[in-house]
Amino acid sequence: MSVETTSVLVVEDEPEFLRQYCEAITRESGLRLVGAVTTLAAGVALIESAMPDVLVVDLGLPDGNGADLIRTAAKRRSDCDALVVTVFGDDQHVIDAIEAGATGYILKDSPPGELVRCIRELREGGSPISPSIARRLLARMRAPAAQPGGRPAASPLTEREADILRLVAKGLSFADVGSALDISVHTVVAHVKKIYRKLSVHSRGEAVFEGTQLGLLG
Amino acid sequence: MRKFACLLLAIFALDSPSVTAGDASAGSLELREAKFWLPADAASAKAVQREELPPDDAQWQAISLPHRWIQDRTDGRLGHAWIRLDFIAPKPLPADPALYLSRLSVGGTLYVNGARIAAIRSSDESVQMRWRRPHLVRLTPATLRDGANSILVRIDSRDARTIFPSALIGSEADLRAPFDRRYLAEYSGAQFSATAGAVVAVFMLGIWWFRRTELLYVLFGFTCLFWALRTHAYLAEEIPWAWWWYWRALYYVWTGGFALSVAAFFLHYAGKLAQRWQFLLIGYALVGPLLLVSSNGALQLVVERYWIGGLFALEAYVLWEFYRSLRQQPSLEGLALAGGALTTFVLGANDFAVRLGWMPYSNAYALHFGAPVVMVAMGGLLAARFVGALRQVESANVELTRKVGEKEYELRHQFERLREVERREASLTERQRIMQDMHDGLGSQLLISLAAVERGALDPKGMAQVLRDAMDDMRLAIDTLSPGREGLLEALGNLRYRLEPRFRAAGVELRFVYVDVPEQLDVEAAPALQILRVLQESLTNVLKHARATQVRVEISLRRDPARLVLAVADDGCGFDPASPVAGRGLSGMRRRARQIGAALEVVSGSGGTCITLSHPLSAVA
Repeated sequence: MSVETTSVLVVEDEPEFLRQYCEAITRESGLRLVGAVTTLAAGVALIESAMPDVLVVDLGLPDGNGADLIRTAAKRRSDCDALVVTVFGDDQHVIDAIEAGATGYILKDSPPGELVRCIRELREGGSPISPSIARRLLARMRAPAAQPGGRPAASPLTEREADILRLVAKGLSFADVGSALDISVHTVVAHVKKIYRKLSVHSRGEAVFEGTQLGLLG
Repeated sequence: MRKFACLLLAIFALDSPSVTAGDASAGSLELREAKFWLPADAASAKAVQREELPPDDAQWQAISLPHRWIQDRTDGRLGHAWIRLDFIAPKPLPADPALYLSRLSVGGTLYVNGARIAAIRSSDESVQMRWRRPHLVRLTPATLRDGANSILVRIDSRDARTIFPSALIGSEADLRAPFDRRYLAEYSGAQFSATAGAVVAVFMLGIWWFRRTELLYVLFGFTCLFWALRTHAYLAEEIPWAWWWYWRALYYVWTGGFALSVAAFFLHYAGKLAQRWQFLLIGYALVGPLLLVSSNGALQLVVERYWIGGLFALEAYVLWEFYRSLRQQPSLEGLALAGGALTTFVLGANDFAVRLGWMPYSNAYALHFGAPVVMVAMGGLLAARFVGALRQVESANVELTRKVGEKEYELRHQFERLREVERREASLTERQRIMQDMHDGLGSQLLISLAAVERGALDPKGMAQVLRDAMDDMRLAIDTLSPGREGLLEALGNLRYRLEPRFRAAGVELRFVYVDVPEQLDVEAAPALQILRVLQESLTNVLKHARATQVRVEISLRRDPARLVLAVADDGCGFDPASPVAGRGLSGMRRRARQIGAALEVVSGSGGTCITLSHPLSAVA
């Protein structure tokens, strides 16, 4: 087995989509399908036994929320890439998934090649982002809601990251953002991935902070 | 006001014993017996000129003191009379003997044992004297003898009634006390009373000037003003004879004004000061003085007796009315007012009686003690009302604040309800719009496809296309209608982001170019959705039919008129707009454009197709 092979776990309750994804993955030489399951429980079990490089997951699973699976995977392995498949790509679902630790999302009916391309992009260190999600992230991470306890409310974003989100939110393509900031498209998507990670850490930090406040932790 | 009242009361208290108990003091000799001689008119004038003492054969007549010398004439000529005081000098003779006369308003010339020792300036041809102060005359010890002595006093007077008081002889040191008391009561007290009255009058009239409706203040102001003027006039001791009657008339005007202002105050307080009363009071105040001046003093006795008497009758009536209204609505302030008024009335009546000679032995005028009492009562009432009004204002303010708070709460409540209603209405409208949209768009699209499938006219590929189009349309609707979406640019970006993978898969380069587009482009959700639909359909058509290698979407903002222009240009094979299939697709796009008032232009040829949508903007940000 080649070292560059990427192991993929698919968790999708719709058999039609599950079959489609599996076909696309097995056809691709660099990818190795380690499991294709339809429930959250089975997904958790597989993560425990055969930790994959990439997790392709549907949020609405019959026995729970796919976000929990992403969290479990992220806990097990911090460099695990979770790719969320969503029907509409609407803001709330995507943000929830990113907070849980997802680094990419894709519409369910994307052309079959798109899934593979997206997995490859993720492994190469880049993440896609739509204008609406960019704007939501910007708003969330720019002003981390005035926190109690006098913790400094500094933005976790760097100037460059904020610039990228701003330009994407305006509707520019990655190529246009790259040329506007004088960087490559690859660097743009790499920044986006970093931003996703930050949001995840950020939201976990908030959860920990709230836990401390409530006396549940520490 | 309170200080003023205290001071007045103090003066009153200080003086009242002296008024009632007389001026007798220990160690001095009080003379209550005297002799009186009235020389014949013709002879007396010359005798006065020659400073002659009464002849030995003068017809002395025994009198008791105080004595009232009545001259029943009003021609203004001076009369002359003599008073003789015989007494045995006290033993031992005081080192500083003196004679004290509590009141000798016309003055007089004094001789002791035949020697002229003093002259208190008397009325003469050019002047009319009115001494208000008491007299203390020093008697040189040399002029007094042990045993029997005689003091002669010549009085020059043109008054109808001239009063000579009882006399005190004794040590000056002893007599100084009753003199000072009398002086303070009659003279200093009056001075103070006049000044205080003037100050209060100015204050009250000032209040009235700014609040014309407060009639009580002006009535009290006039009361004080008349009082001040009257008292001030009372203090003038030397008046030129030529002006005498005018002066006297003025004095009556002020006296009458005072009495009638008090009457008006009481009537108004009792709620009975009708207009006719006002005219009557003013008229009455003027009648007496006018009679006096027009008759050049001839009617003085009539005026003093009947006009002033009338004032008392009037006051009595007013007091009666006041008493009646007080019985209906008893109040502490009313009672205090009535008490003050009654006191003044009684003291005024005393003065009137003294003046007319009905009170034989009292020679003190007392009204200027009484008047302050009623004025203090009146002032106190006004002060109480003022304080009451302030309290009322304060409690009104509290009440007002409370009411405003209530109203504010109510308004907020109503506003919230209104907003709730508006919100519901807005969401209802929105829902209706979405229903309409689903009915016209997705619904009919699915229905037409269903018919085609049932007819067997749709192969799986065509079917997939139909479903994909339906899905795309739904995504667009969700993208546009989702809450929290910001403007058309973001939706355009989302559309591009969504379609990108398909173009990539088809090997078509998709480029979006923005020209002169601001940061924020606000277009309502409904037209935005139609714009996006037109754009999406143009782009999917490129994918379906054009066989293009690249497509360029230019979004630009144009001015004059302000409009948003979207141009979709591909380098594909073009199409014939006249063909039925293309025609159907185009007519759908045209319908959408028309719905939002936009223009659609289609240019197609072998070099490609360009579809331009021009949407007018009401205002350009």
